[in-house]
Amino acid sequence: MTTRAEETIQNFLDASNFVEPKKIPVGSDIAGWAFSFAGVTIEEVVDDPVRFAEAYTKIFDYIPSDYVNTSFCPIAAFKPLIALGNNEYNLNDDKTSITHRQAETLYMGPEVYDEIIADANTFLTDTLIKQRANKFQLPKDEAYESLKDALGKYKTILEASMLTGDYFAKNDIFCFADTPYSFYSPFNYFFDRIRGIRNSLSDYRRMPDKVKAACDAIWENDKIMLQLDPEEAKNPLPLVMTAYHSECFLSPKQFDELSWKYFVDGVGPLLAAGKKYYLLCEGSLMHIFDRFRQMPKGSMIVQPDSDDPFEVHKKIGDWVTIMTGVPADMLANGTKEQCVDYVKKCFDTFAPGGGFIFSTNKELISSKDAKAENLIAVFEAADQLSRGRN
Amino acid sequence: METTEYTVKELFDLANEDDSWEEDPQMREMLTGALYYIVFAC
Repeated sequence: MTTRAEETIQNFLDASNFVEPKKIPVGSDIAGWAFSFAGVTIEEVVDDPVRFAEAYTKIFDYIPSDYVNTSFCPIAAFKPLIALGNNEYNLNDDKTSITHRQAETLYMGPEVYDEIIADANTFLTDTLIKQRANKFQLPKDEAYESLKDALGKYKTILEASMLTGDYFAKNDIFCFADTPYSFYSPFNYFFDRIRGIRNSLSDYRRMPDKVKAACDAIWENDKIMLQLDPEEAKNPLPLVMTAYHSECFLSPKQFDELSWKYFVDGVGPLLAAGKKYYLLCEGSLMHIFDRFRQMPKGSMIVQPDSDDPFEVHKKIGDWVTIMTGVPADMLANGTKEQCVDYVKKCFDTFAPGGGFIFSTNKELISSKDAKAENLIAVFEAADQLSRGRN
Repeated sequence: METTEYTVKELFDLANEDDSWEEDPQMREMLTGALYYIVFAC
């Protein structure tokens, strides 16, 4: 007998293979907003795994869901990071969302390029971590005490994640992006963590050969993580995933040099073998979407963020699966009728012939990211429209 | 940056073997593995 979760997985695969599924998968990407829906703040529940999991999953008692992005709620990892001296992630004033204080981070100097070219592995696994989690700069005994403190704080989060995973399993909700396989372009190390947004982009203009050599060195170190056993590469799931960061700031030529060439090298063979890939777009990427036609048809699931999904669909909707459904700003500021009309338009446009998975366009992070009545109406409408199509 | 006489990985390996903070070896392995990934990736 096939379980609902198994049916959802088959529907996922059918949708991404451009076979109209029995039911179009309907799901969401909800983070901190879930706590405000439950009437609590993260601060109130973060040290209690049972309360944390109950609060985080409460919304799924109200919205019909075939899948969620992940069973793990990474937003809570700020406490162990602070214990290790990384203060980039903090609770916002609403005590429900997390601020990433990227602009205030003290990045490393341009001399790191030579260090990375000489020994990327030592830099990434030790030097960079010590820079970003400064308790590891203390004498060994003190650093070890900080690590044990962080591990204790992380245990609560792990236990909460196990409980949320149990909830999703019990309710046959597929956690589609729970995967050990990710692709992260080497340039994003510089952009996100080593040099910051402004420095990394200007470094690339001023000394492109050095930046490219350092990216190559990082890639030589990292690509082993995507060198899978041939049998495993044939399995569509667990998929490979990426959240783009720097990519929306790059010209097509820069994108080819700093991101796409590594993707083609590392992920291309896996997609040729049969694996699926999920891309969470951040920012506008219309200028590079045509590259995706170099990958096998149906191998990529793309969730547009800032781009109009109807324009994305015109551009590559015959080749990649579009994961979309309702914009977060409409959930926050629109009426219930506007939201439901938009959902209908999505199903009318994207559903025929497969290649469509229903979702919100962005992760719902803070308490004001959506009106609850809009979200519930959207998911009830989507659930009805997703059924009996094949 | 000031250099230290240990590596980050060495400390995580030490924590993985140390039952003074967590008795269950399976839980220790999960926690140290997952937190190492988080400090590496964040």
